[in-house]
Amino acid sequence: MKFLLPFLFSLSLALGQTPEELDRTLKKLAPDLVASTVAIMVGQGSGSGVIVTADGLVITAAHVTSTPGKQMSVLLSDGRELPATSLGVDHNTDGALLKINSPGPFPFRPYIKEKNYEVGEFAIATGHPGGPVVGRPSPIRLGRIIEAGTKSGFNDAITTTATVISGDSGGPLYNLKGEVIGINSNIGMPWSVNKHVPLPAIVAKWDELMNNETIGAAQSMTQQTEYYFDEPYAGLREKFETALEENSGDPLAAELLKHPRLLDPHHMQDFLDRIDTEEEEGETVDEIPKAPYFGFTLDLKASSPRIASIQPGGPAEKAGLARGDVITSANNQAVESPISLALKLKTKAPLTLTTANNKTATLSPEEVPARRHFPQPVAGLISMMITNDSGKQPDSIQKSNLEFLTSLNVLQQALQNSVLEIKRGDKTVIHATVVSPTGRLVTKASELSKPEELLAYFKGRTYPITIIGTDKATDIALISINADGLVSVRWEEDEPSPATLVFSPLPDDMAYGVVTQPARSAPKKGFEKNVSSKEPSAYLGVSFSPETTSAIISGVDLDSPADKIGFLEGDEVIKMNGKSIDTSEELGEAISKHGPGEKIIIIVKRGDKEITLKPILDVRQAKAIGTFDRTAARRDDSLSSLSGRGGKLSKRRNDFPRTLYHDQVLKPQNCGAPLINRKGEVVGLNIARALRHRSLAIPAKTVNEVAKKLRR
Amino acid sequence: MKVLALLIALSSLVSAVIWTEQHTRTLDEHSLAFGKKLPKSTVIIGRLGLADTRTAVVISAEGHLISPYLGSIDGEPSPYLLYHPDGRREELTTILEKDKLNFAILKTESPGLAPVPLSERSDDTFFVTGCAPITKLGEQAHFQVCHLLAQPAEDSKVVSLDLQTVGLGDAVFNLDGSLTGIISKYTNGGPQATLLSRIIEKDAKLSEVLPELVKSSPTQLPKAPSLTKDELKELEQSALRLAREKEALQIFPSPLPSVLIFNVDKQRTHSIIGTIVDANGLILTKASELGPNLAVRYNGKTHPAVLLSTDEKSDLALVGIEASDMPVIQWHEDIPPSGSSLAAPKLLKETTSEMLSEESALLGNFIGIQKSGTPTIHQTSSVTSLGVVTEQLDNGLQISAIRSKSSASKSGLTVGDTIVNIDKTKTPTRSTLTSFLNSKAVGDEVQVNISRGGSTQTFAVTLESPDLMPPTTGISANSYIPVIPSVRRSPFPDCLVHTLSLNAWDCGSPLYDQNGKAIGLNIASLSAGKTLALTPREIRASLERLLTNSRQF
Repeated sequence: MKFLLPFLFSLSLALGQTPEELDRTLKKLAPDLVASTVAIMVGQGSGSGVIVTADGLVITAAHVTSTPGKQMSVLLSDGRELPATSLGVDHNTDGALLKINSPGPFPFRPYIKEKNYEVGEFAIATGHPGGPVVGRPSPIRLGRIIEAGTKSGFNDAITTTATVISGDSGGPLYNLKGEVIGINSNIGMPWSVNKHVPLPAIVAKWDELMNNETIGAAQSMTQQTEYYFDEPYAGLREKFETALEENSGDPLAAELLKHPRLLDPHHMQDFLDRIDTEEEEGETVDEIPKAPYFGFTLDLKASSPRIASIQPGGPAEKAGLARGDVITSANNQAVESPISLALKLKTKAPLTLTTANNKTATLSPEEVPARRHFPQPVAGLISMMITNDSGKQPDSIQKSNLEFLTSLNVLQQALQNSVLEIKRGDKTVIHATVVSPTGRLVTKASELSKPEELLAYFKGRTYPITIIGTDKATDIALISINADGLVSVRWEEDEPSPATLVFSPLPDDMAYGVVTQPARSAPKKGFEKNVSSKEPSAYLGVSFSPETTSAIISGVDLDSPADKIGFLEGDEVIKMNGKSIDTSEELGEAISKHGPGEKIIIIVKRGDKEITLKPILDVRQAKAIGTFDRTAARRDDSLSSLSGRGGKLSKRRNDFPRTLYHDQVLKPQNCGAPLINRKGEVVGLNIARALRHRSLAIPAKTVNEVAKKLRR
Repeated sequence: MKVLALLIALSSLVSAVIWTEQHTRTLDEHSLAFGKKLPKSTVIIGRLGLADTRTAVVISAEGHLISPYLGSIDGEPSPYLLYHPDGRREELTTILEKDKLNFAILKTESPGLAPVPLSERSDDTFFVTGCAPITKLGEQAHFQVCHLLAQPAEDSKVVSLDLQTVGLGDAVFNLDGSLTGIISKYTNGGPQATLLSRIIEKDAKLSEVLPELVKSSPTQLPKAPSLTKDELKELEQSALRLAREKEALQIFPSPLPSVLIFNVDKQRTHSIIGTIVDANGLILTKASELGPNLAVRYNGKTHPAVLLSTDEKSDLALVGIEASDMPVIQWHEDIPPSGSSLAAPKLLKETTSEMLSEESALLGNFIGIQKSGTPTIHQTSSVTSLGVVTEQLDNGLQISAIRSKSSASKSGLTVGDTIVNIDKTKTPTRSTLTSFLNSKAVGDEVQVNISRGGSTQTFAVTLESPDLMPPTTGISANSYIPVIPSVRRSPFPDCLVHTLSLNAWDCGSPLYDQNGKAIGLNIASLSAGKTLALTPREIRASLERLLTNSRQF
């Protein structure tokens, strides 16, 4: 038994005690974790799931499948889309099963039957945030377990800091052995609250779920009383109703309680703003937008700007305006109609009005909560349920993170002369990374407004900055400061692979996370389309004339599998995999049964000869980027809005060329700092806090090219 | 090029079905006649435990109905229900269910219904009946007019229709009001119907149930050419629809009295349509879609805009820009017959992330008037609910969930209790429970006797209105075109209801009838195929309020 001890010792290391081991474990596991993660297409919506048996049993969330026996399709990591049927659902835990209606074998991951996880351990979440995207494997998110529940995804969940969002619902949470320990279920607004159904809770109802049973009732059916507002309004409505009950003494609340009405979000929000002007403790809330308030109404029927009423105690009354006054100019500009005056009232600065009887009044507007725009829920995503949980991180997590990062102190020390803060007054605006010891730094260009007010901090001293040049595409600025002792960073131009552990060293902090997916461009809002369930999943690259049903090829796409293997226009397909083919439709159907990466055998007739061709099918073709899609834009808005409620995002956070995607929870002002691997080599420059689950960095190679270009 | 060739090849078909004036007039006469027959020949049905409502058609003097197939909630064969306009619910006898063909034959005991003739013949223009996913009390079936697109080459008894929204199992009628088919399949481009003659041919049992089912008349073959699937797809997706939209564009006044209003909210840009009501820059739009910072796109330019006032009752807002000589909307009080064709301009066509205006049209049919404050059929006083969700066990119904804030939740009932009897009436199954609840009224107190861990206990529960979950996710249960519905979908004053599939951002636009008269303003997208429009009368009343009470600046 002596040999057991060293073995156990190495096992504990493999569980990620040190950054080196964690990095190695993650890289080794990642491909398998991603391979077993699927997207689930239900009607027009999509969620995620994980395959747990070779014959295609999938664990997902009850709010994804919602009822047993429903037909849906599953999008595998290899691009194949296969029909599936939902099995049982447990609305009490949010666990559910479904079965792919094909024999497989499929890539699968083992799942735990009993609790084997503890607070503080690392866990990995996968899924399809924002819905599956052509050519994007499931992003990997790393986090720590902050609550280790066992009974339900709602009130006794596994809570982690692995950031998930709408579309991830139903996706797996893995431990560092690669076992499924939870299922993504719901989130609190803060980025650190991500709740997963504990696998033991699903295993406890395994037989019932396999037996197509419905356990409990859907949350929405038992908890909500009005269904006229979908998320995000349901949460608002709940707050509103609570506020009504708690403030029943308030005259407006009393009125509303007496005559319960269906109010739109503006009315609910107005009431909440009135009742509760204080921010909730411990929760980051969106800054309430403010609008100027002058305290009068206008007579819209009059042709000239005439004051219809004055609000007692408001700025207009204080300035001496009265009912019936006709305004002739605002800030010495003539105003001729109610509309032209109203347009002047959008300012928050003092406004001097002159009346027809030559009275002059200077109004200092008050600031009141502005109307907000309530974005629509998005069709096409199964949204993550939102809980009110503010989720406090136990001190033990802070401690274990500190321990984890301590071994990297060396790196931070090494970079302390290479990463600078740039401030306006006391406020950190952005960071910058030294690219030459002569005082050249790179940073995020769009954050450098009023550069004359900005100061770079280095070794306790401040330096004014000079902008040498900016690059619009990457949002990189090259700046210079006149300081001695700067040390340029070491670049690593090879792009880190997915699951690589990465860090962002800041002068007094260090963020860590993983590269979530292969590098790709970060398109503009609305330009990244989701996989549409209607397209065939495997791609050959031949087209047929619509005028005939025959299987005579009328076109071969350049660089397609068909092109590479030598299909020609005019070839008539007569057989595929031994089965005869008469029409293009039959060929399409036959191909749709195969997935990308599979080799098929096609016999074509070319003139008098029969030729056998063996193409390897490719993944479904990405739709042309460069066209705007309204649904995608709505999705992007919705994801931004949801993310923005948990913390601040960068102002410019999309429309970049090829970028590295990672999951570090950065602040927008942390951008401009380098993204380093565990050896301390700089692999990129952090350029945007983009979404709850996404930060972006420009790859090292691009940074160097841009810096070189700007230097000239 | 292929599309063009196809367009030319099919131009004869297209010209046969576009809105030529003559065609429309005769069509209107048919519509009117069909609309009159409809209330006695169609009923609103549902299934116990499901929130959806659908339309069934009376096909025999004995009360046989042909209805869409509705899946049962948990495999237990729960009864189909007939919702009477007065709020009563009647349990129907299920004669036959065909889940693959998406229909069922049911039987009602209600008198006074008029059967429709069944026909083997099929026209090139049809009426398709349906109803809202959630029907309001007193609301009846509506219908849409649609045209034969084509038939797939291999099967002459399946036809494609140029409808936008429809449910599987909805009935398809000829112009003379005879039933000719059932919607059986969705395709990318539109729905397909299987003709009755085909259904009967395939199903011997159906003719056993209803001998002499089909009254044959001289066969008038459809005029549409047989097309290959590829051709069909191309046609469905482009040619005919574009041609119809082009026709619709011609009925709109020029210049169009509409603008695009942007909500500029931090980085997010949303938009909505506005309708010009004053040449000097007054624009009406939907209030609840407006954010803090507004801009208006008009005449190729972006103008700063300001919110002047909002009206809670109608959800209209008045927005102002500095402009002059703008084209002003002219309202018409006409209420078109149910089923007649309507169109609304769709101003939003994105070419880049910046939205530019390019006009195209939304098409649909008029349904009727929705009176304000009408409850849904599920909320009527005669429909009662115990406030619990039950699970069928061998020894009775077990409570699996209790509605929060309900009388049941306050009574002391808990999840896991098995219902023994209610007011001494045994209710071992859902249908016995429903029958019992149907005999009671909202507000009645009942004694619920339950068994919990071997002992029995009795709790007093006050019956309430049921609170079923309407399909509000934007993908309504009986349609396949997802829309993003409006933020505010209720309450409204009396509204015109129509089948245009509007997204939230298409609201605020004028609604035109086929003569180019503006008969309403689209105020709320409820779901795919159901949109509300304010009547000119309500718009005028609201405008008066908007002009009288400006907002607090």
